[in-house]
Amino acid sequence: MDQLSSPPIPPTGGSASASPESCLRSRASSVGAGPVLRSRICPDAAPAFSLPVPSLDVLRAQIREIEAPPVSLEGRASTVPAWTLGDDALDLMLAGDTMSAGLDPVGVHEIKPLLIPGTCAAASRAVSLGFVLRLAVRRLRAIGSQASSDLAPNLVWCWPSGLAAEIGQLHGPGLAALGFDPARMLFVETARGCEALWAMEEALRSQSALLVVGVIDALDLTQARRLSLAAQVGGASCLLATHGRTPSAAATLSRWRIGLAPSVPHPLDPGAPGGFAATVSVERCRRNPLLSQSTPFALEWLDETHRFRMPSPLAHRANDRCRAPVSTHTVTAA
Amino acid sequence: MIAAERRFQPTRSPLPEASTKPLVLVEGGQRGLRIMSVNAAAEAAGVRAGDALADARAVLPSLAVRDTRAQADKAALRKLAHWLGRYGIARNAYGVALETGSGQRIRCYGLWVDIAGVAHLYGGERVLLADLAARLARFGLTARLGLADTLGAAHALAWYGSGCSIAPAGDMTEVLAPLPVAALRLDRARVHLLSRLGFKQIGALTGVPRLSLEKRFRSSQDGQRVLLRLDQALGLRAEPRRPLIEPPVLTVRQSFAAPLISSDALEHETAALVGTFCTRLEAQNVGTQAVRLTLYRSDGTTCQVVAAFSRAVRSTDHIFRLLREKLSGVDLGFGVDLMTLDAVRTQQIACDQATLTAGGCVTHVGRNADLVDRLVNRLGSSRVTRLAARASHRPERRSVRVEALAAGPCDFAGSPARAVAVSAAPPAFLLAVPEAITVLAEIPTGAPARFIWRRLAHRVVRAEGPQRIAPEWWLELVPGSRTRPRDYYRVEDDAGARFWVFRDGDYSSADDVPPAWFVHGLVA
Repeated sequence: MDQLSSPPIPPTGGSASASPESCLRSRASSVGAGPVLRSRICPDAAPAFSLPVPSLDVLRAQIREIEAPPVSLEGRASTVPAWTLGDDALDLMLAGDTMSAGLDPVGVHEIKPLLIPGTCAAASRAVSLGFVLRLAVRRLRAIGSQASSDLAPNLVWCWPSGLAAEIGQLHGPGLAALGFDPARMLFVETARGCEALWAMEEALRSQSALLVVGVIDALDLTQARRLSLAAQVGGASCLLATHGRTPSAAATLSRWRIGLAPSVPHPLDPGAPGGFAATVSVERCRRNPLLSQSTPFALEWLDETHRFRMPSPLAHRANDRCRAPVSTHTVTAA
Repeated sequence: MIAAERRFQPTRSPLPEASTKPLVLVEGGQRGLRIMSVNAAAEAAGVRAGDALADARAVLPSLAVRDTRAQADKAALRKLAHWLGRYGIARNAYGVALETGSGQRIRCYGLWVDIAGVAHLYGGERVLLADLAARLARFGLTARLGLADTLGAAHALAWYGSGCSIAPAGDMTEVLAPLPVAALRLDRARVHLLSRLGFKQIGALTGVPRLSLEKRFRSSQDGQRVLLRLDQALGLRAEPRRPLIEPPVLTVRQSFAAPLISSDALEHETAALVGTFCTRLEAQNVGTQAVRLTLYRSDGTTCQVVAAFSRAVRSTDHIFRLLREKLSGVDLGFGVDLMTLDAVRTQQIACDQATLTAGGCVTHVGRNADLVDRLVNRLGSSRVTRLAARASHRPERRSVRVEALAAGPCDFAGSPARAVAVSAAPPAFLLAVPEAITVLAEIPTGAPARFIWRRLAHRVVRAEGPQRIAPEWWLELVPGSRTRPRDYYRVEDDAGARFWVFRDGDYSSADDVPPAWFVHGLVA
């Protein structure tokens, strides 16, 4: 309770917030002339025996102290919902020893396209960005119930201006079909990599964006570390879509490599392409390092329920421990 | 109202000994080279502006001659007008046609500044004028200064007065009485007319009753003009002035005894200034939508840093943060001895709930606006965008990018995207311009079996379509517009890559241009 007791009140109001003003006053009075100077001197010239009157600034500071809620980082972390992919087995494997299933919600995850010579590079890039978009949908839908209902953007998408010519602009109706609210996405086009990193860091620290997606070519260890620190400060998630050929950053929580795969068979028409499918390999996972030795597996996306699904049981072989039956896929953090 | 004027002298030279040598600036004309401007040494030797160069050479053979550079002079004048902002917010340059002794007319320029309410900061008008003269002398400029209640009187004092004269506040009649009528900013013909009528000095004009004065001119236009200028100089009639910049709503300023040369000190002083600024905003219960920080360097140049906000703010942290990012690129030169912070636009805002944590804003909307401000101020407003829905059949027109600062409806809820099945929806990535492909397809309505896009062959294994998107009917009314229905197909090649391709046109129509195929999007 010590810090709540009122500080000693200087007679003319010398609180911390008034210090720039008071230093200005002293300087101005050396320059200023008659009438201005006189009005400023008046409070000092008051008789010494009068009661000290607390200035408005001091009173405001006191009210501020009483009203402000206690700031605790623990409290905020416990309310962050899990970032699951929707497939129970995969979520448990990603969780490792921790209690929250799926991806770590606060941190940086890297997604790289799998480039095979002779195939279309733009399509490989597009499928990896499709995976990013679907991870983002799951993240925003998980937080959606908790977030305030205002219409401010909750997803910040940073990408280089040249990429739009290669694979196209993000299209509003297409995003709406994926499950986004396009009006709540903020797009930032950057000319250089350092600008994109700066914009992502600002967005992560601002505590306004729930999710930040950055499409950049390459980043080094320091830059990735900066991003993950910013994500922890802001309590936000970050998805990095990097180029397939550049070396990967080591400071990310997980790294995925996404390759093209034949789409899910269409339920009504065998000759038509179906839903999204991709070949996925987890190259790095900090929560469960064993996962990085697993073979690439197929992953499908269900449009109706906005979930990922593993069509084959191959992934179960990666980690025997995960065979234990677990019913829930949304485990609240401790 | 007081105005200070100076005669522009474009003979500024960085070398001190050069200013002591006679120098003239000349310009070619119909009757040979004419002297447009002279420096003090040349003037002392008897050379006047408006003389022919040949005459001046005869008087003073050692005369140095340079060409006039009108554009550079005007730019320098403008720079100086900006710098004059330290003496008053409303200031500008103006031009007058000046009659020389030899009957030549040359265009001269002056500067005015409104120093209402400023003089006491310097310790009086006389001190202010001395300060201005001293600074201009340090720049190597010879200034003629006049200070009076009206612009007209100040002009007359500066150009025809003693060089640094101050009119006492109040009636201008006595001050103006001994000055020639040419000081009234009248053109040559009217000055000539006045002298023929016997009016040599302004005092003679004020002594005559207005009605009889007007009657003496043959055309009423002349009389009106003379009376207007006289009234403006005496302060009987208002004179509109156009300041260099729009006067800000609120200004705070900070001057320094020694010029600031380190960026750390500049940052510290800016923070203090923003603190004062926000206190003033709070007192008026307004927020600012754009701020302008002007740094006055000691060498007579200025530098402006502008920051704009997506909503009206008065948070010290936020304003300072945006300014600080731009301050890093500012060249301080020989030091900054004065800085002002202006609120360019203000708006009434409700009180914000304060917070203890850094950052300033509590609400999600507020934090978001702060983020948009920072991104926009660094990257530019065109690169921070949002998507907005438009009513159109064409997929590339249905979703447009708008600047994030521009508030507007961005609602896709009413667009057809929600109504159709997911598989029939357009892809997430759409090429801005559809790219032509070479296609092997069954005629007339078959899906492509093979196509070549970006020099790479794709064998289609699965296809879905067609989905016809017809052009809007009103486009067909426009003569000459090529509007054809498009048949869209969603195709997948043997590697698993999925594309959204379309055939522009129809084989069944009577169109003489054959249908063409395009890739329009990547199904991700």
